Amino acid sequence: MRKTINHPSRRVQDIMLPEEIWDIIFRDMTANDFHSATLACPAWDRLLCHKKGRILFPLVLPILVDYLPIQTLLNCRLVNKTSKKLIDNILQNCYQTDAIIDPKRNKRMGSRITSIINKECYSFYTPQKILRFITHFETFSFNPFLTGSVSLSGCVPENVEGWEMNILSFLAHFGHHIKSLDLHTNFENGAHFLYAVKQISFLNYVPNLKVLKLSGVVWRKVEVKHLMRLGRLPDLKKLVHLDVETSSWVVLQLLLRQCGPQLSKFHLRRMFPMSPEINWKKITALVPNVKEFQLIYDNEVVARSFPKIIGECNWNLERLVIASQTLINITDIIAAVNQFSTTLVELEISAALSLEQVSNCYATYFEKMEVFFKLKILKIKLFTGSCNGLLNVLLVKTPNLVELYLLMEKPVNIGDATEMFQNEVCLLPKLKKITIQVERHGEMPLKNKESDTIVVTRIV
Amino acid sequence: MALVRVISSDGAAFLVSQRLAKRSGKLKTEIETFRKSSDNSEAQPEIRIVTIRAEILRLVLQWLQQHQNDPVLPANQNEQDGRGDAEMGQSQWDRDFLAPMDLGIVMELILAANHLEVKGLLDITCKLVESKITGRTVDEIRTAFKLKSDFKGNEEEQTRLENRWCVEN
Repeated sequence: MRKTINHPSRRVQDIMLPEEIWDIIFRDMTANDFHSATLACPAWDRLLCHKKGRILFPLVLPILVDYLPIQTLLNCRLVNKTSKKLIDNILQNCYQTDAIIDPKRNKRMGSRITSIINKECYSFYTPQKILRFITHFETFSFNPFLTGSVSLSGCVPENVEGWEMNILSFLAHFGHHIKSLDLHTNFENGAHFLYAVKQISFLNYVPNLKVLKLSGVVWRKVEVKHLMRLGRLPDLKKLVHLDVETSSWVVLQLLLRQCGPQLSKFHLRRMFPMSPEINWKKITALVPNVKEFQLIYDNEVVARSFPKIIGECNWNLERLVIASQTLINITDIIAAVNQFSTTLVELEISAALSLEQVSNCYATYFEKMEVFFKLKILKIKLFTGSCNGLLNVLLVKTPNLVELYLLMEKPVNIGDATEMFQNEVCLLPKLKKITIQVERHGEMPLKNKESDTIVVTRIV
Repeated sequence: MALVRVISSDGAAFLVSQRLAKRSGKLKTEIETFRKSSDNSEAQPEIRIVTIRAEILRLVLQWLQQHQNDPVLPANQNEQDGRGDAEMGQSQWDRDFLAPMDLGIVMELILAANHLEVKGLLDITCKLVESKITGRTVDEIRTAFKLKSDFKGNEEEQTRLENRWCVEN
């Protein structure tokens, strides 16, 4: 019979090991595991104390991104592979996150830096810049786009063939690294024959594209015919976000037929005079899974047709932005928006009101709203006068509101408005911040000239 | 005075006023959740923070105590430019508070301030670490944080090339 010997139990922290053994044990741990180990046992915490700078660096770096100048951030990419990967992920995820609403602070990190890098480095608005980029990187096959986002302009120069060769060479080399593409046609130098079709053919070189922004293209009949002869647009299997400004309903339809069902974000901007042909029912049916919809227009036909049609679709929208640069009937808009009362998390309405509506106060319009239980962010830029009683109405209509943004017209007494909101901010149980922007009437809501901004936060 | 018991990962309990605790976004949410789920409105909330050890939690509470009358900064303050306003808000007390700490403790404080959503503390600690990185060469950063380069072949050269394109443009 085997005899068992009972040793007095030993605690793990009593086990003494040489430091090089601990080094081996902790060598392959992730920063999170290391942090957990130091939290689990005070003896380990003491033992690993002098290594904390090294091991906690990957956990702290994503938080630090907000505080680092660009040059420093780029330097950090040279420190080691982990740092490089972390920074690159942050920069690329800023524009490509699948989340519709980002309540977590972490998701916003790096957006400032990403915007600057995109604007300065990956905007290919001149043929010379494309050529310089190819020369700089041609001997390497790695991903040269820190942000994964590229702006390509159709500012066609005199030497069209040479320019096209450069673009195709650029896309053939690096197209598969592009995650977000902004294709813009600039007409300053004159558009060339079939340029619009060529622009669409560029999409053949970006198979991993997630975000596509098309703007500035005026489609002529000859180009639409040419495109229809192609029959099918390039297959963009990963595309989830389409932002389009187009003059052709046919082109829009072709785009949506190809990738409509996979889109979660759909933005329609400033459509050209083709608007009378717009068939909203068809549009909404082609993008059944959209969660975020933005409509920015300066066309009265769209303004009139939108509220009547949008209500008939079966979208489970979480974010809706309507920005009109023509006069709208806010009551119709509110009635249309009511269709999404059970799903909407963020709502933004930015528009100019007709004179008879301007005299009303905000509260009057929102009394006609359904109850939006999920709504957390409400941005209203209507240039209307009074906000009296607005929060009392919102308390009933949007009980879980966290952030409110209002645009008011001058002359408004900033001091009175601030005092009123400071007194009322506690009415809504979850409201944390009210931002009021005061502008002169007549300026378009999206412009930021001569504006005063007041931020009222809840005082604990 | 209403109190709340905050317990660190290693089991140390800190009894603090709810008013003070609510200056942390995370603790505020936890207290409100407790209030909603508790039948007894007089019951004392108990919050266990499993990711922060006692020494660090004590420092966070000490900082909150010192700054209890400051206005609360929203988490998305300075969202437009993305930068913290540490320089504006840093007092002599803050400088004396951080001065004796080694880098490892400061980094733990950053993680704790981020987790507990204490914006002011996050700003000053991040600014301190940022000052140890900005203006330094890559080798100096590696030395300061005891980091080793693990790039192979021409990987470091590639990264320099990407950086150079960004800086020159």
